[in-house]
Amino acid sequence: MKTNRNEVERVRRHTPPKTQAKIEQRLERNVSFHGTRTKTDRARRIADLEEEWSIERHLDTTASALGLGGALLGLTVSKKWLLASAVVGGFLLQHAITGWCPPLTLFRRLGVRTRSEIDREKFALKALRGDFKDLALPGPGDRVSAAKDVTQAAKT
Amino acid sequence: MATTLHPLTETDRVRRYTSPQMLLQIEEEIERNVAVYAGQPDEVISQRIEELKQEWSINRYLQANVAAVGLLGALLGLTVNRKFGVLTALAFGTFLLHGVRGWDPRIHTLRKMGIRTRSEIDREIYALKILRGDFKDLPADQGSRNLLPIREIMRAVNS
Repeated sequence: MKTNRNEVERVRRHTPPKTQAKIEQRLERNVSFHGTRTKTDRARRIADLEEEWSIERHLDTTASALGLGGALLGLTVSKKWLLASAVVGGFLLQHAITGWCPPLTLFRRLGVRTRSEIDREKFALKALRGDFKDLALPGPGDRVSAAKDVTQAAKT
Repeated sequence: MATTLHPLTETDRVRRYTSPQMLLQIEEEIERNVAVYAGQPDEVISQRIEELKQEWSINRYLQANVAAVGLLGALLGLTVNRKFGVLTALAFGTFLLHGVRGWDPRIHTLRKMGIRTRSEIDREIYALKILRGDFKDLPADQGSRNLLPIREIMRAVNS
């Protein structure tokens, strides 16, 4: 089992290239669509993006529901149901470590994105909105003074 | 700034269940990190960005923890005593609550250890990207679709 250390890329690396390309295209389309809208619409889109369910959240919720169901049936109906929980737990552990698990491809086909992909759209919209335009960026020698402003610009 | 640190106004579910003091600590940490790397040459900043991409987020810790406990409980339940299934039910039950609502009993401990959400880590990444000048040379927003610097902006966020 190969550990995938890069958290930003681990799910993307296990996504079929065609599906991955579609997700990238949609990201770019979203940016050009929402980029031309009014300031309020753009602000709303950014709030929506922050609340968008990431692939991790979808996987966590699905796995928990199945695992809990298996455990409850295992405790009340037949011990064999615990096998279902064991399988779910095993795959979720594999996902946490390597980034891959069986339902991953399905969720990706449905267009479910990683948090970093969502954040990329968010920061593209922020850049389009001009959030980073008026920051005084000194040369590498004196960037420390700009650090506070920049951190604040990345936040709001 | 104080208003943005009210947990209930947070859109991120983990941040919503993090105490205000701890949110403040995390914000200060991001700011401190950015300030430290701001004084470094671009190569060091790029290296730091790669490091941040590899940082384990709180979600990944929770996932690994729940999965391990759930698996162990199920295996013990199958081999030793069925009652170990309670362990599995508890692990997945609380995680289901976390998935839907955001609250999780393990958040507090992990936050105390300084574990951050992916969005918090991403914010530090983008602050460093701005400092590196990734967003500096973008053409001005002309307000018209044809003139939007989409390509340049996508290149800036993708790099």
